Amino acid sequence: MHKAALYLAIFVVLLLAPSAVRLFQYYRPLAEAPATPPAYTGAGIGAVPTPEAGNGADTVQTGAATRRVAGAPRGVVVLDQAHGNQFTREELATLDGLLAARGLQVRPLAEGALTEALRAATGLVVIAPVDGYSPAEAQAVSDLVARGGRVLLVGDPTRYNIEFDETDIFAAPIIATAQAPLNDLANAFDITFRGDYLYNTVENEGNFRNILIGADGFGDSALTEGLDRLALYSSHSLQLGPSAAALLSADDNTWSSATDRPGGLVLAALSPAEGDAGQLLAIGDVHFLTEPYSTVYDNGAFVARVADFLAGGGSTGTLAGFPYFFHSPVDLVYSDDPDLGPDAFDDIIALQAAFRGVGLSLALANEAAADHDVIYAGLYNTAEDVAELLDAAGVSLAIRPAIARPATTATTHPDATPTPSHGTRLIESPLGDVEMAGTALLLLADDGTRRQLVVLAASNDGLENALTRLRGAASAEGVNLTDCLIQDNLALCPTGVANEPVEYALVTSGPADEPTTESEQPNGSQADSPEPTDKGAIELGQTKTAELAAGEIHAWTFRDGPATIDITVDPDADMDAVLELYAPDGTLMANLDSAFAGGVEEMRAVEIPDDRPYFIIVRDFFNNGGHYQLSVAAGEPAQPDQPESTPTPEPGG
Amino acid sequence: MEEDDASIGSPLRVVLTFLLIVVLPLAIGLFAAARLTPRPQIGIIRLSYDINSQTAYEIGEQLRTARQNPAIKGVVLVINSPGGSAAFSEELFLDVLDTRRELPVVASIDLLAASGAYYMAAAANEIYAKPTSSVGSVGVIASLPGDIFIDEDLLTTGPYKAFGGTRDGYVRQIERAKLAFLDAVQVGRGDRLTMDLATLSRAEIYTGVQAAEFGLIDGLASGEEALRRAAALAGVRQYDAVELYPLTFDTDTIPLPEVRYQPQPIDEARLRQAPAALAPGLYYRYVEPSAAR
Repeated sequence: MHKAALYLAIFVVLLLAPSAVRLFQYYRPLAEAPATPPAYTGAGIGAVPTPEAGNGADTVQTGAATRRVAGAPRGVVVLDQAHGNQFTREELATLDGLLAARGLQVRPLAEGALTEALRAATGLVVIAPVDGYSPAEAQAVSDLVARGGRVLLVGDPTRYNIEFDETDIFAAPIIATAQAPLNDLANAFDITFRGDYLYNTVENEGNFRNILIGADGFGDSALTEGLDRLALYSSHSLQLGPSAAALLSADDNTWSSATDRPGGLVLAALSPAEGDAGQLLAIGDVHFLTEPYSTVYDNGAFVARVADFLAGGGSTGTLAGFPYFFHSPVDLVYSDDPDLGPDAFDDIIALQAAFRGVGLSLALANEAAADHDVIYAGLYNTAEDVAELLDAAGVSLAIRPAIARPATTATTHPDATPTPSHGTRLIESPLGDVEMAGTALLLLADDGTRRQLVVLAASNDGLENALTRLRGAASAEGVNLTDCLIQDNLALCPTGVANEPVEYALVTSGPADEPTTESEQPNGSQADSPEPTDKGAIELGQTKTAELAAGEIHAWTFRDGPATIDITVDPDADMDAVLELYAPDGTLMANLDSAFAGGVEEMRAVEIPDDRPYFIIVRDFFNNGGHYQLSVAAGEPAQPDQPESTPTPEPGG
Repeated sequence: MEEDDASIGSPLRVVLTFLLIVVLPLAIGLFAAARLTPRPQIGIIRLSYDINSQTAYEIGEQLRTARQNPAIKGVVLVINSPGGSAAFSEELFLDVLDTRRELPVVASIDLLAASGAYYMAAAANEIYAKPTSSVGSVGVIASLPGDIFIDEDLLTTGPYKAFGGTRDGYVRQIERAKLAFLDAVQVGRGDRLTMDLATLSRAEIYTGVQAAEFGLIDGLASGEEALRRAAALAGVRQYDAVELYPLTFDTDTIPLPEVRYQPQPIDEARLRQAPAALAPGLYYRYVEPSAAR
């Protein structure tokens, strides 16, 4: 029995031994069991909610509050689309609406010169351009800012252009980004768009490249005042110089792809840096302007602030910006309501065509409508309508000297056809005193409600030439003022008319209808003066009335000396009186032509030393004649430190 | 008693007894041992291409083979892939986790285990790579849908029927897929992961050395060492390394894939254009940059 059991045991052992050996050979019986696989439930996957929309209600009311008249924008914002700009108008619908609500007109510039377009602009928006700007264009942008305009530069690391060489499939494609073109414009304002993008993997708005900016990151500016949080959806960082200030700064968890370093990153900046004086706003992201990103957090309010910023652009155009500083329909008004002939119509038609070429309207009017811009055209002699404008600009139309010093060279008795030295008709302006003859005056006035351009010349031909200058407005070169003395809104330009006379009235009927009332030579020189007509005596305290025929000169005799007298000539509106006083020996004692047509000439405190006959000469500067009153009254002796007379130059017609 | 002695002492009986008691059981034991205790095998599954529906199917079937074949005691995933489709990458991740309940799975990274490929590897018991292997790119890439529109002749019953959703909604889906990726890595790697998730979400590619430092992998090792680790995890002292593809598929009808992944750099310009190059969907895919800009 034992043996059988032994045999069975041996049998079993030997039967199992190979397997046991293999088990021992192949496996490690005491090997540590691998770790239990983890349970995967997805519970650790967090939510990525869409943020609540902020209060994007625009506080600016569309309508009359910001518009002066229908169709008359408060300013013009040029939207650059001529530099390969990587955006569509549809994307800017939000900004477009906000600008329109502020009375701004957005003028896309798809082609043509930016320099020309900016002449009309109060603001400029440049978004992701991939074509560079010329130095002239950059200067034009600087000029816009210098004259009070606002500029918005927007970059975006997701906006670029790729060009393939279709003739060489192996050629590397060209990737054009907006960095360099933007810096063409921004560098002048101490702002540099960097070629990076920003990211934040710790706290972001749905994606690492969507940067959240809290109130801590806002600069001290009206653009961000009262806002809590903004989100920019892919942004460059900006490098700033001393004259620029950060408007939006990222937190310390935001990194730059260029340096792969966090902290100190600026997403938007203003230049100049002082307070709210910033006139150029640079932002590294375009998406916040577009829907739906403009609805997130306070983005909507920020976009409205950007629109406010653009609306704050000064509307001060300069003469060089003609005709773009006009924003309303323009009335062309000839001063003194002249009869306009074919020559004038030629000017008007040409000017209208030039205006149409730049999208403006120009109409001839007897009187400017209150809500229209206006061009006043006329002669210096008929400039009464624009006297206030000239005065406000520091411009005086004067005749100097008002009273000549005693003549150093004796002249003959009036009866012997004296040749008095008349005063010179001058434009006295901040640019200096210039003779009217040969000079056209262009003055742009902006009183905040309308823009008024004054164009004056001494003669019809001079005025025509001045208006011809303006026709160049429609050309790329714009209005030609290169030969003008120009400062701010005042220009004095040569008329190109040789020996230009100072004409009395505007006559535009052309060569076939030359005016019968010919003008005199400049300065009233009378090479062919007629003989004076003796009008008899005038006594101290008397007033005489007389009718001066065309080309006639009146001579009055005063014998009530010795005395100190005031001599006054009060002519009709159409007569430009000239007053002269001759001694008994024919010497010119004094002359006066201080006023224009209709103006009173008043020669005060004239010392008559004896009772001999003194001759008072009255004539019309333009030899047109007219009705006048001559008075001789007792005057006060002149004080030593007072001028001999106080003529009051007054522009007028 | 004498009969017993005689019977025992009979040479014939001794021989018979020896044959019966010793040789027979030994022979049976040896015969049976080869079947009852086969030489253990460590299966090799190679992911050498993009992850897509086809490759996910192939890998999944091989993992099923490994689970169902008792001789296969462990699996080594030899990875050389830039990843691919997000959903299929996730499927492989779950397949590997499922396999781990029965077999240890070790990932051995050759050239590249990026994005979806690393997603799958994260489910393995252990991950090994070469010092200069490329590991990481934990993130999602996708192209956003275009603007929505309506058409007079194309009628849908909802505003996004023809588009799937809003661009913004898609952005958040992508972000959530990233969070799912990070969660999977965290689940798979557990405490071994020393890199914080915010940094990991930068989606950088790391070398094997860096990946080991950050806990993305368990160490630097050759493919043979990975096999040994799989065997060790399986408690196997000796093993045969077997390719699972021929065991899974009839290579006469479904030949072993000859394509082996090699980096296919996409130049920057084409990548920028590209969203077009990506079919609609979410991708755990690493796009190798071109060397030259």
